[in-house]
Amino acid sequence: MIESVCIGCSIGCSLYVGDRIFHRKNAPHNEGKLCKFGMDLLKYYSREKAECKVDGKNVELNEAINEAKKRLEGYSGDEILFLTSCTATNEELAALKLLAEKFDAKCCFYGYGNALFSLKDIENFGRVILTFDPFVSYPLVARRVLKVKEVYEVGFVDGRVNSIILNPENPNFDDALALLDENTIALAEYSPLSTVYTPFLKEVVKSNAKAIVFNPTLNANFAAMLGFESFENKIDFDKVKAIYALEPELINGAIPSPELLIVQSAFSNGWCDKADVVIQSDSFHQKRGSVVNAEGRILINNGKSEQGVEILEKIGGFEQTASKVLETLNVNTIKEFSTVEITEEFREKEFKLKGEGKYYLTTKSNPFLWKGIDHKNFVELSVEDVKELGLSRTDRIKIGDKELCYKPSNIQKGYIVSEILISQLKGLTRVDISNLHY
Amino acid sequence: MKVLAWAKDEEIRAKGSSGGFVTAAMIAALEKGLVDEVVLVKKKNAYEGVPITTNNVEVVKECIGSMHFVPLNLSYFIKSGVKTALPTKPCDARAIIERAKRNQFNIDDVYMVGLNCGGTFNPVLAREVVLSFFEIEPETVIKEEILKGKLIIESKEGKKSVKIDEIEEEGYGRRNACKICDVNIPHMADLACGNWGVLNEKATFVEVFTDKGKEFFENAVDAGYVEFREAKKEEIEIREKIDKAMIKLAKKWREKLDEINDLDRRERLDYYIRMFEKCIGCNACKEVCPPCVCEEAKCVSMNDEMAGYKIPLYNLVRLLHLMDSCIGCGQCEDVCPVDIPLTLIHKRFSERILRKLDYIPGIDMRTPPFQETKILFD
Repeated sequence: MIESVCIGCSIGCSLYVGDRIFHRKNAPHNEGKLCKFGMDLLKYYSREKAECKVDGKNVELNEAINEAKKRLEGYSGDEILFLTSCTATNEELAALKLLAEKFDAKCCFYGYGNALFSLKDIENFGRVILTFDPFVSYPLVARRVLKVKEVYEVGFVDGRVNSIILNPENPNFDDALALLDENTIALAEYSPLSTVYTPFLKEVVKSNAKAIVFNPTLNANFAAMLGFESFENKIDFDKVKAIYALEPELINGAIPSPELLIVQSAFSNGWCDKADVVIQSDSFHQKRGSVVNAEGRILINNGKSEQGVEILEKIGGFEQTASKVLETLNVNTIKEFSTVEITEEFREKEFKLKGEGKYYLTTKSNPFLWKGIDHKNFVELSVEDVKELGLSRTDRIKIGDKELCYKPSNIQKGYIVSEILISQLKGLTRVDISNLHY
Repeated sequence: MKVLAWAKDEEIRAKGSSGGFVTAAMIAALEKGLVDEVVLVKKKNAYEGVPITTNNVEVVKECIGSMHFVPLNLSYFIKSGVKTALPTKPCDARAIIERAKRNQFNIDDVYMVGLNCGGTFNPVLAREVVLSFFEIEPETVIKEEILKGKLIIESKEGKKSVKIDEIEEEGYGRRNACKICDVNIPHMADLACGNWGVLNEKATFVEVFTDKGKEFFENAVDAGYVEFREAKKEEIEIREKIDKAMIKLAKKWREKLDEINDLDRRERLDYYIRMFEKCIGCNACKEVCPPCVCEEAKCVSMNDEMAGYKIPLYNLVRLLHLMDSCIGCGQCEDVCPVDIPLTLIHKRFSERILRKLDYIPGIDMRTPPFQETKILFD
C-alpha cells in the first residue's frame, strides 16, 4: 500500500492506495476520513491513460521529450506560458517554475494561494459564514462547521438554514459583512462563482474575521508560494504563442489554441486531444513527492515515480528541483504533517452576468470536477417551476445542449441548482429550460 | 487451559509487551509450516501501523509490541485458501467469524491468536493526550502500554503514567466503540493472550479455547520457541476481576454516551433524522464494515440524492442489515466524514432484538437469525 494524498481538492486527505483505498487515521487533517471522491479514487486512477504523441502520432517517451525540447526553442517571455491545474507534487511545480525561468516566462495556476488555517481551528469560532455547501463541496469541512454555534450560508438560493440571499443582478453583502468580527470565520471556494464573492472576501481580509479559500485542485498553495500567477485574469491568451501545460485537465473553461501546445498529463483528456506534443506521465498516486494543503501542511505522496520531475528537468537541462522545493518551503528537510506559512491577498475579479435566459443557473460547485466519476446528472428546481414547466416524474429537461434529470427542491423560483460542472459556467448564468417529455 | 507463557528468545521476551509469547508462537507457526502466512501490523510510529501479510520471520520480529493507538481491523487481510495466523482483538475475532460465515474464507484455515483488549485510541486524539496529559512531545514516544487502568507512555525522558479514567473524564481516551465494548477477553478466538493476571514477570497469560488454539500453542512449545507454566489461582482471579471491571465500565459508558435514552418516540426519530441527514453518501462505513461483503451492494445502489429522503435509503438498509450482524468494532464511526455516532446507533437498533433472539454476532458460527428465515421456505 502506498501512502498517498487524495487529489480531489486542496484539503489533500491522506490515505493508502493499494488494491483498494485504506483510511490513514493518523493524518491530523483528515483523521483517515474521506469524502466520496476519496473513496472512489481508484476509479479516477483507472481511467484511460494519456499516450505519448507528436502531431497525433504515437511515439516513445524520450522522443516526445526531445520533440518538446526542440519545439520550445525560440519562444521566450510573454510568447510562452507554463500552466498547471496544480494536481501535481511540489517537486513537479518547482521543476515547472525552473523550466519557465529558462524561458523568462510566466508560470500560471488554477486556484488561489491563501491564508492558511488549521481545519480543526474552525471549531473554535463562534460563527462561520459559508459561500458553499459543505455537504457537497469540501465535505471534510462539514464536521468542523457542525461544531460551530452559528452557521450562515451566503448564496443565491434559499432553502438552507440561516441563508443570506443575494440578488443576482446586484449582489449585496451588507448582511454578511455585518456579521464579521474576530469570532467569525468565512469559508469560501475557488469556483466558477468565485468572482461573485470576491468583494465579500476582500472585506473579510480587511476585517478582524478570518477566512479560508478552498481550491478544487490539490496543490494551489505551493504554486502560490512559488510565485505562480492565476492564468485566468492576468493572461491574454491571444498573445501567447506556446503553452506548456502540466496536468491541466482540471482547469475549468475553454482549452486555448496557441501555435504550440505541449501537454504533460497522466490521463487522456481534451487537452491531450488538442496538443501538438503529449508527454505521458505517471498518475499522482505513483509519484514520489510532497504537496502543501489548504492548511499549509506538508503531505507526502510515497509512490516510486519521479518521472514527472525528470521530464521537466530533461527538457530544461537543470537538476536543482529538490533544493528549489526546500528553499520555497523554507525548511532543511521535508517533514510530513509539519506546516508552512504563506499569506496572499485575495485577488480582485470581475463579476459579470452572462446569458439572457429566464432562469439563473447556479452551481453546488462540486469542486472536484469529478471527471469520469460523478454521474449525478441532475439539477434541482423549485416546486413552482416544476409545475410551471409541466414536468412529470420521468421527464428530462434540456439546458443548452445538455440533457438532464431534475429533482424538485425547496429552493427559490427561477433558479436551477446544478451539482455537475457545466462547461464554461462563470459566475451566475441565465439560461432557458426546455421540457423533454418522456 | 490457562498458563503463563513467554518467548524463549530473550530479545523477543524483552521487546514484547508481555513476554513475547504471541511473536514467538507466530514465528513457530511459520517455521513449522502450521500456517502459510501471518497477518500483522508493521509499526511506522506510535500512532500508525500498516497491515502486512508475511511468511518472513524477520518481518514478524519487527512487528513486536502493542499498538493501542492504531485502531485497525485485520479481518479484511485474510485470503481464502491460505492458512493464516493473526493477532485478534475481540472485534477482529468477531469480524473474522462474521466474514467466515459469509464465505470470505474457511474459518478452519484461520488461527485467531486473541489479544485481551481494554480499547484502542484514535491516533490523532492520542497525540493530543500525550501532549496535554503527559506533557511529552508526541513524536518522541517510543512505546505505549495499558496496565492496571493506566496509560503508560515511554519516551526518551523515561516512563510516565496517567489513569485512563482521568483522561476519559476530559472527553479524550478510548474510541467510543471501545468505551462501550463489553467483550474484553476474546473467548471466540482460538486462544486469548494478555497481561491481565500477570504479576511482576515478563510473561503472557494465555487461555486456550479450541483445538486449533491447542495445536497453535503446542506447536510453539514443541518447536522450542515458548516456555510456560500453569497459571496460579491468584493470577486467574486477578484476570477475571479485571475483565469484570471492564464490563462494568462499558455498561457505565453505554449509559453515559447514549444521547437519546430519555427522549420520546418523536424526539428519537428527530435525532435519527438529524444524524443521518448529515450523511454525504461516501459509502465509507460500508466499505470498512467487516460483515458487509456484498460487492455490488443494494444499499449503495440506493444511495442517490435524487431519492430525496431525510434518512437516505442507504442508511436504512444498513441499519436493518446490521441488526444481527454488527460486531461493534467502530470502524464505520472512525471513517465517517461527518461524525455520525454509528457504533451507538447500530447498538441501539440491535441490542433489544438480539437479547430476545439470544444471539450475539461474531461469537460463534451460528447463522445470523434474520438470514435463517429461508428455513421457513425450505
